[in-house]
Amino acid sequence: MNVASDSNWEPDPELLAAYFDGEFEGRPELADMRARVEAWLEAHPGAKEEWAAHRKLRTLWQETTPAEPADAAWQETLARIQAGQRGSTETRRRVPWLPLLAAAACVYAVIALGWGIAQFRNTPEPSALPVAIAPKEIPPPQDEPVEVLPVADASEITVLRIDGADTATLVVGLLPVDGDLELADPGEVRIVHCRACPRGVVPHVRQGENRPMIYARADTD
Amino acid sequence: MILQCAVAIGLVLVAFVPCPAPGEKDPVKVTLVVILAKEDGNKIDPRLKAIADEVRKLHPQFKSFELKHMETKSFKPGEKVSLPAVEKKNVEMIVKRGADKENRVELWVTAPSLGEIEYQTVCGKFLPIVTRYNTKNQERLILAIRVQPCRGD
Repeated sequence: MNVASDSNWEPDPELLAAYFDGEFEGRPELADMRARVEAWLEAHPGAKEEWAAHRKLRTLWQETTPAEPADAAWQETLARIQAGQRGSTETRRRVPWLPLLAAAACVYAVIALGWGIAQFRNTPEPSALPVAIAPKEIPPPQDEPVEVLPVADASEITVLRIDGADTATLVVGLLPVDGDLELADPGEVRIVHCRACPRGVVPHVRQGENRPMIYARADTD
Repeated sequence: MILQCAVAIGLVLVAFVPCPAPGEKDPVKVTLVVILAKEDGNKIDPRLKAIADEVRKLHPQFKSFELKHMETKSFKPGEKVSLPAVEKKNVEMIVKRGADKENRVELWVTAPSLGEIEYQTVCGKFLPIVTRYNTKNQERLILAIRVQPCRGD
């Protein structure tokens, strides 16, 4: 790997942490990466000092970390916890006024409930309360005629433009074309002239026995 | 007294004058039916059966005929109108002359991919015009144009 050719390369924090934790040591397959990191640290003395301080802190943490307790210590601690739980239960049993306190609370709750019911029963009847009176619904006068919305008949509506798919939805009105399209008969159409018609596609009017039709052949025909 | 008699006589004469039949300068109503023909499918709008039969004599490859829309518009002879056809293309037309004594109407039409066509046609019947215009969906634009009213209507 050509380190010098990649001057913009910068190790990420995880890679630097692995380097300072010594994870590259004793691993020849990472020698190239290790050389690359060391070259970067040489070029960046500030980062080197920062990571050296980090390594010093890590070493200090490892040196001051207390040893793991032995199994005997764990057993002794567990026995003390269990003994403490038993003592707490016995202490509760030895409190004589605790049931009395609970009974007093129940009596108080019953008294409060009875007082609430009595207050509810003393509430005056709804008819005695002042309420707003809703106005009575006024029926429409029977003698006035009800206006029926007038609907135009077919002769009064002429549809000027409509999509072919929408013609079936028309309720009232005359379509521009009603029913089949009546075609002109032979001899009833004559071309006067054709101006600026595309070369070679001058429209023709078919005559003879067939019905007249102006047509121009397309390039695809 | 003389004036009153003259007015009365005039009213009587006016009452007996028959309503004029649609003349060459009266407004006419043009109906445009826009049709799209396709080479695939097999769906023919029943209203287009006659047109489909005629068009397929010349273009048997067309299998489907759809009535895209229909529109009617009244305008005076000499007035140029533009009606939408398909894909923002318009059909422009001028009634050069209203129905004559033989009930013939002279119409000037320009449609997409067609030049300016001026033709005489019978009043009250449709003339199919098969254009060269193909839509983006490879549908051929076909127009059917009718002019009304006719003399005697």
